[in-house]
Amino acid sequence: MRLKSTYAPKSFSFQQGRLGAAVVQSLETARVRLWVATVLFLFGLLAVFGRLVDLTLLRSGEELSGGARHPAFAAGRADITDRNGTLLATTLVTSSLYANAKKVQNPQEAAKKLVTLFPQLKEETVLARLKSDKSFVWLLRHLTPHQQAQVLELGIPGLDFMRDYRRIYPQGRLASHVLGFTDIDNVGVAGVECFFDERLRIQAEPLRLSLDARLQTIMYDEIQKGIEEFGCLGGSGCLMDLKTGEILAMASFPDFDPNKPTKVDNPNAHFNKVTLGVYEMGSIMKIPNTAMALESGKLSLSSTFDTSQVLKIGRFTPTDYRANHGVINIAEIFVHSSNKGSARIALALGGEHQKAFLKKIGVLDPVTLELPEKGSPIVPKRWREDKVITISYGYGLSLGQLQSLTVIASLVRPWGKINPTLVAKENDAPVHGEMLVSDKTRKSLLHLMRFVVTQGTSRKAQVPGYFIGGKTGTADLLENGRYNKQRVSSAFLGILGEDISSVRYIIVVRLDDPQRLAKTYGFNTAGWNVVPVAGRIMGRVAGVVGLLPREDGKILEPFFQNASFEKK
Amino acid sequence: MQKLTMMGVGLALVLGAITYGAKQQVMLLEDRLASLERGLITQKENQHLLRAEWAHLSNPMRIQALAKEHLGMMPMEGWQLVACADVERLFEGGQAFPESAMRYASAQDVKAR
Repeated sequence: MRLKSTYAPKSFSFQQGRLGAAVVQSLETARVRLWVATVLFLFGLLAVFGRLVDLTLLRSGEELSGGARHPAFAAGRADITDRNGTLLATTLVTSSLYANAKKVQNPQEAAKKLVTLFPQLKEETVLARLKSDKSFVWLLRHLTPHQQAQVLELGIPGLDFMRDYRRIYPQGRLASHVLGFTDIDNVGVAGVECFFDERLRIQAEPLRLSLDARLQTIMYDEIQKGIEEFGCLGGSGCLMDLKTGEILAMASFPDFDPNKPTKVDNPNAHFNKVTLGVYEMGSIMKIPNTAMALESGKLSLSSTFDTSQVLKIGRFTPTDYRANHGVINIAEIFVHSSNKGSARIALALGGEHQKAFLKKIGVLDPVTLELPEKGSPIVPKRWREDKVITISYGYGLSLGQLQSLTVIASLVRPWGKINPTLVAKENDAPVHGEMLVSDKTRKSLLHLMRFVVTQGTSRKAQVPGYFIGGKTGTADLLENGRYNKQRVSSAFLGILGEDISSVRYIIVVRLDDPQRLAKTYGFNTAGWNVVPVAGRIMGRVAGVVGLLPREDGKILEPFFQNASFEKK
Repeated sequence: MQKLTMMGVGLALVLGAITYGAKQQVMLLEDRLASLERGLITQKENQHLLRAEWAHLSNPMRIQALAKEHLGMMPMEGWQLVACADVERLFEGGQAFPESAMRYASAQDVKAR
């Protein structure tokens, strides 16, 4: 079959002029339409081309500078280190699980699956959150990468993760009371975490504390052993650099793990006994009392008092521990720790004098430190004669341990008054302050404290080759407003150095309610329990800080040249 | 006139090509920088994590317990220190520590502790 062409257009020309006006009109319209279409297409093409240029050449909408596009590594909260840079607190990046409850299709099943994976979650709580119809509900904070993978494997739609930060304390319980802890949103709520909260959030560089992790370990280890050894309820201790006032170690028991601050065995675990607790100092108070006597200008080391006479004022009758010392001088009153003698010294000088002196050396006002947990001294409202007596040997006036440490440090250091600090200093240049006592009194106090260790109640604190001076304080525990003579709190305040002219460290250690044991021959006084503990701490501290054992028994004050305090 | 126009167009094309090339190169470098920065952040985070782990592992209490258990070592005390100047004298005398320290050590029954 042959295909016939039916299309055979006739050729025509405008010149032919045979076409009518109507045809010309429609041709004109077509021309205009063509132009319009062309322009429209052109615009379209231009737009496409423009966008192409924009995307390839200009990259509009995208920030080109590298810094802003990629946020720098943000650790969330600055680290805390000890004086040598050992990490005490840091922040780790974790993932936290949240849900868009609107997108969760089967809340019951999702809740059940999640609880199987995380037994610490309560099914009802999770279910309530998933049913809440909110677009953001927290389910679990701070997941490990492994846990995150497990959640992903569950394949529940509507769950997602958010980058989160978690505070970690790599040393565990070691310095828990100093460091404190943060809440789940990394806001400091206790310790230096609270005190320096703003600083830690704003500044990136680590906060360098004055603590020394090695010395802190010694303090922690030995006090813990001491508590176990003597069956104590708790204990505490603090070590300070006499030169700078830096706190090198501070421990308080019972303690807690700042990584799990709410999981504590003891309701008092968060209580910092060194800074927040106030206690009667016991015989440690005889150090300020003796300083007061020597500074008065009326008494000297050789001034004597009769301690055989009964002294009764108001309700109080001071008694001496285990002995009647007879007529003894101020040095003997100190070394033998005579309550009666101390009382007579205070009475001889009067209450006004005593109050003024204690005010001057900083016993009556709270001490400053970079911690929110600070106790104020409990000072009697009326300074009556019975108070004058009891205060002279450490009752009726309660002080924080840190404060007693600071007061005694200010008396014995050759550079005057000192304020304690928890922040590391740039160097170990001595910090100078107001001189509270004369150099003669200062040296006498050191000699007296040395004799307490060599010939007095604190012989178990002795470490050969070192200058160790100290004073014990055993205070009866106050129970329901009455003193329980059976239970005590025993404390030791010690000074450590290579020799008397280069004393360097001051320490206070306290044991609460040490038991009367067979090996302590039934005694529970400081000399039997807290003194050997403090001695062990000082022996180990000396090794770590590199003090050499070369004490030569040098005597700086002529009074002590041939002095002996051995009981005859 | 036509020659000048042609030259202008030619110059514009050449400059355009150079600009395009430079731009592409910058973009490649930008991408590389971004990926390096991402890597840096990851490395820093890892480093941070390792530092925390190291601090945890080198916790002095832990080291002390390990040293005691596996090496039979115990904490050093101050009396065991000897000044360099004294070493020779003590060595000649055939003893490791000064007399006072030896007495102290036996009194404390150091071996048992």
